[in-house]
Amino acid sequence: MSGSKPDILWSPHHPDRYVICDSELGLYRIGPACSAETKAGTLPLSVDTAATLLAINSDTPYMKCVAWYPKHEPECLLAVGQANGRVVLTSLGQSHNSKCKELMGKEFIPKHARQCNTLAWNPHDSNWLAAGLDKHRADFSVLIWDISRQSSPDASVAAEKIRLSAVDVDSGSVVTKPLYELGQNDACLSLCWLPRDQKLLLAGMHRNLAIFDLRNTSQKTFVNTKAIQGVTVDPHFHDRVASFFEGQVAIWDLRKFEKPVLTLTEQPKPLTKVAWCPTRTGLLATLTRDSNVIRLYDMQHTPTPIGDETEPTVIERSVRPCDSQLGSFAWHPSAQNRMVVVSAANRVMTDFTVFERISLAWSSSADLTWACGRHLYDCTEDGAGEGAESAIEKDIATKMRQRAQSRYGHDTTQVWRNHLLAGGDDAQLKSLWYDLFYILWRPENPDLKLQGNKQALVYSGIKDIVKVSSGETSDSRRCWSGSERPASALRYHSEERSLALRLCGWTSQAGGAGGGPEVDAEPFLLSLEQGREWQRAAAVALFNLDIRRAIQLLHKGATTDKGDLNLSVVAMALSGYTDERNSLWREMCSSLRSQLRNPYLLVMFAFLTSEPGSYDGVLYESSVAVRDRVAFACMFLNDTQLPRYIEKLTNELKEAGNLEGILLTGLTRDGVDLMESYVDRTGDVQTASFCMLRGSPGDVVKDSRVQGWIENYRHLLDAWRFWHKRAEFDIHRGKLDPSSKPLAQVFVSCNFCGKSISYSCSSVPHQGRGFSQYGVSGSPTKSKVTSCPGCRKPLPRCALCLMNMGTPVSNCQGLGKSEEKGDPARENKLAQFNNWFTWCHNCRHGGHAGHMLGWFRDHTECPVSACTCKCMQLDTTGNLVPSDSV
Amino acid sequence: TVMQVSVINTVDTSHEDMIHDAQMDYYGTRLATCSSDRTVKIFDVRNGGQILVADLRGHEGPVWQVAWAHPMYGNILASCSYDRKVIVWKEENGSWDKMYEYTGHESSMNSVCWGPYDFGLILACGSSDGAISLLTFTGEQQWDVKKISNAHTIGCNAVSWAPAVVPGSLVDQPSGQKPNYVKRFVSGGCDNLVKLWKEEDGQWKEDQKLEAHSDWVRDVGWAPSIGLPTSTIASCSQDGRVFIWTCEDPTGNTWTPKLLHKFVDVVWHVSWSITGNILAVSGGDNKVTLWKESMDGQWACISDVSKGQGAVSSITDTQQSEQ
Repeated sequence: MSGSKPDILWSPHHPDRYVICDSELGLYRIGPACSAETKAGTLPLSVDTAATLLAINSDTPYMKCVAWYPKHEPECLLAVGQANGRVVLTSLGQSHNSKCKELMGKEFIPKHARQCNTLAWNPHDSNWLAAGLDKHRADFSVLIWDISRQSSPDASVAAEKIRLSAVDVDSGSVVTKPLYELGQNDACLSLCWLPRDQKLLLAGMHRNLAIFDLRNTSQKTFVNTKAIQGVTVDPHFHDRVASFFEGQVAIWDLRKFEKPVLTLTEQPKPLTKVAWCPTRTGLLATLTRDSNVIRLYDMQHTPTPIGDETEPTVIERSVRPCDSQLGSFAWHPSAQNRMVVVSAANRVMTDFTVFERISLAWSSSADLTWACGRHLYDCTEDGAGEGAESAIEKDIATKMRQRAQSRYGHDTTQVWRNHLLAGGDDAQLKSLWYDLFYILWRPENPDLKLQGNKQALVYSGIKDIVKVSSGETSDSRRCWSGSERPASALRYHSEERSLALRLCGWTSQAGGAGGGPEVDAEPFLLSLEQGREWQRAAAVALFNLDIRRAIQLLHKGATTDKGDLNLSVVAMALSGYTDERNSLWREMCSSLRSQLRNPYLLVMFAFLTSEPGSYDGVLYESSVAVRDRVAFACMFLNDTQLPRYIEKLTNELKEAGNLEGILLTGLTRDGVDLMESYVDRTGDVQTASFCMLRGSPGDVVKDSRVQGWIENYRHLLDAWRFWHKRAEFDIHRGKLDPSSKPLAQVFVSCNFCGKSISYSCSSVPHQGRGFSQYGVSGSPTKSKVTSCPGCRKPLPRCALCLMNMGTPVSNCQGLGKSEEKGDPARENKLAQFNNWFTWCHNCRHGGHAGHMLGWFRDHTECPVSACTCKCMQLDTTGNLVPSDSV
Repeated sequence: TVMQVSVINTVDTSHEDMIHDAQMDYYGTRLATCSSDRTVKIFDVRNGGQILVADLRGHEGPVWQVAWAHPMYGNILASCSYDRKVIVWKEENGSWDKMYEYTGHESSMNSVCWGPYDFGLILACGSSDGAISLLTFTGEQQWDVKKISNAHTIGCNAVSWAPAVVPGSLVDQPSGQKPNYVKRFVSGGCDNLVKLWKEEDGQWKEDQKLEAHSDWVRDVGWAPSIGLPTSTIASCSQDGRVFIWTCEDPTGNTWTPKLLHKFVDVVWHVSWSITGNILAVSGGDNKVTLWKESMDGQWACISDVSKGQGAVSSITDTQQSEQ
């Protein structure tokens, strides 16, 4: 600290107080920033904190260095070293106790006046104050004062003292005789007491670092070096010391004091301050002149003897607490990595925290945990976005978890309902599950049943269906319904086109597969009406050449509650339709069409105004659902146009991973390609697994990508501890892909004859079912088997009820009370489970599953007396509970 | 798109010094932490709680990293330390003990990572001496040690395994036979390089050398594969940059970097979410940011979680120049 360059000192005892010293001393209290920013007297230090000036002391001019008294009482006593070498005790604030009053203003005066460079209170004996001075001929430069010592009656000095000080003091407050005098014929630039021993003082002398031992002042340990400024001991490793010279910092190990253990990269400007972080090991902060950054050295090791041979790892970082050039900084004594910095000019202060390396860890449930400093932070995705937050999309992992809980994918009868189980808010999933619904739907009427090869076609999607349709297509020019005028559009028919329309959902499931020219769109229109999809319904009606119905639908849409009145206007426009080429109606429609927002209204007018055979305005309106565009194409594109259009659309959708495209690709390799881009984009292996399991087991399901999705999904369920869901999924999978059924892993064999006890009961060696015969099986007439069917010897006994296995469990101890009355089918299943065999793989004891579960709920050891096996703890997951419900 | 996240819990771990790593086990029920205080602690974090269940002492220096093995091998945790040791801990009958101690390096052990369970119990460890060791449990308390000397000059900072991918189709595998997995991992080091390693005929060979960073690579993360043929790796560095490396080439030879972002301060860590579609990045600016690839292949910051607050905003350069 030289001239008016500021310095900062934290209070040793008040974590919220510090002193800034430049030309005067200012005591500040740091606190939370008030909401009223302009609160008088506070200075903002950061977003959250502000400082209040508590006291100012300008009694001590020519300040060169300051040190805060380390004891709790008196709490605000400071030693000030002055340019003339004197050390003055002074205080800030009003509440002076008697001891403080006694010490206040006390002066310690060296024999010869020269600058006082540094001050250090002894941390053990707080009466000892070491002062380092410039050289004065052969005089001593390190003086240790005892502040409790009474004054020496040196009149001349006392007189000078009175002249210099404004404070009214008696001569008792001047001390001229130090306790110790060290460093003769030398200069002292920095000082620090060694925490190892209260009598050891480390001093940065003119050309060396010296350790003075006060027990024997004639001896000192020293090492010649230029790095003699700012000596400071690492508060975490008392043998580690930092000192500096110009732009270079040297790190010393006092146990091997001969040379620095490390010198840090030189900085271009001279250093002004070097300080160890008190809250963190191995972190050293340095500041150079005219700089706005603090350079940090993170010494990532502890100085252990083994560390000597290797170069320690040091990570360098620069932090910029504020924009202005920095005067000084001070680490907070207890708050982690926190410091206050003060600018070189104007005393601008900033409260600043150096951020630590943050380590990150995702948990399986999509929570993120990170460690920083000594704390852990747990971060999670916020709950369901309500209303306004609907723009915020949840992560797919969260979605898949929720969907697994709602049994998404498991509705095998009303397949389309799965999109509702997924939340019902995803258009692509809706489209996908409707596609699957139509694909999987089997007509009950045998007349409508498709031939074998046609049924296979259904799986392969519209793209393949339209490919084979050439040759049998008929076309017809129909009349507008209810009018004699023939429509300009040619309408194409074939069996395949009808099938495609059925897959698009445009024709009723009960009819239409016959390929007749009359397509009954009415059931579809009614369902759209029910769903209040007025515009879409009107468009479908129009494409079926029924303008009247379209107008009626639009009217209905306009008049139903909260209806859009504009629909009436559109209906009006529609009613004026004329197929004359150059009519005003056409002209206006073509120009005003672009103003319509609703894509279905848009395509209606596009259709009406387009030339026959060229319907790009409809076909490439990407806001219209793929199924509607495809259905339209199947009606109005000829045999050359149609496959080309479908091919093009398929490729687009495949590339985008748009699930609407499954309609075109079906559950084929093409479909797997499409699903692959969807999974790439979303990570939704759940939908991919459930969807592709519906494909043909030989081809699609065996695709390595599909197997990969399925395995990944099962792993996710495992990691989420959704073990019941995992089991349900495996059952579901086994039904659709019997080859995926795992082989039986456990067989129960008789102790006497060695035969499997289920084998002989069952003609088919299907192990999975064998056990049911040993339980109640819900059938009271069935005989209970308590002996081996092979040799008739009794089965082993349950370790708890001591009955032979095969005897049904009378009262289900294993069941919790909460489950007492429930679904009878479910109860029956659980009762069966209670009768199952179970045993410990280690001690081989066991019995009825229900009994065992009950026992281990309260015990850790095996129920067999004298057996100390901790059966349940052998399994690492034994004490985990599934996080899903059955 | 923006993701709404917030800090729900802040816990003092009772570590006496800085924590260097925290890792959640497979089921998300236990959290292991390690610190400069030379200890490893295990917390039970079920039901939102945080109960200390084990305090593992055995290291003689700061412990840099911990890693959980797949639960099918039991409750096994590996830790690595400045003391040049890697310790494998195992829980048996409710108590944690040393299962194996590896002291085959000459300098600080910086990173440990268990391979996918399909590869068996195999641990990769990177050291400041520049070498990487691969420890494979062969049963009967035996471990097979393979060492890649001079993997990174000056030191290796991070290792991360590739997910288990079988070359070719699953259908072609003879049933019942163990599939022939290609074992690969990625490492990052003080030579500013990201390197890929591959096992061929039981030997580890350098497969790729990825150059883009201009300072020490601090962390690397191979994204979990959700059934994609594409491989993705994230790397971050002292130079403030995060790169996403992708390889669409089935032979695995062409890797292209894409700069995710240039931060002002060092970037410490990168971590992929369980499905691999969100990347968490932590930097010296004390921010944890979450990144997601958009439809058009661009990486966008979807969340920005400053410590202790759940501020969500898109990251801008002005915000970052705070320091």
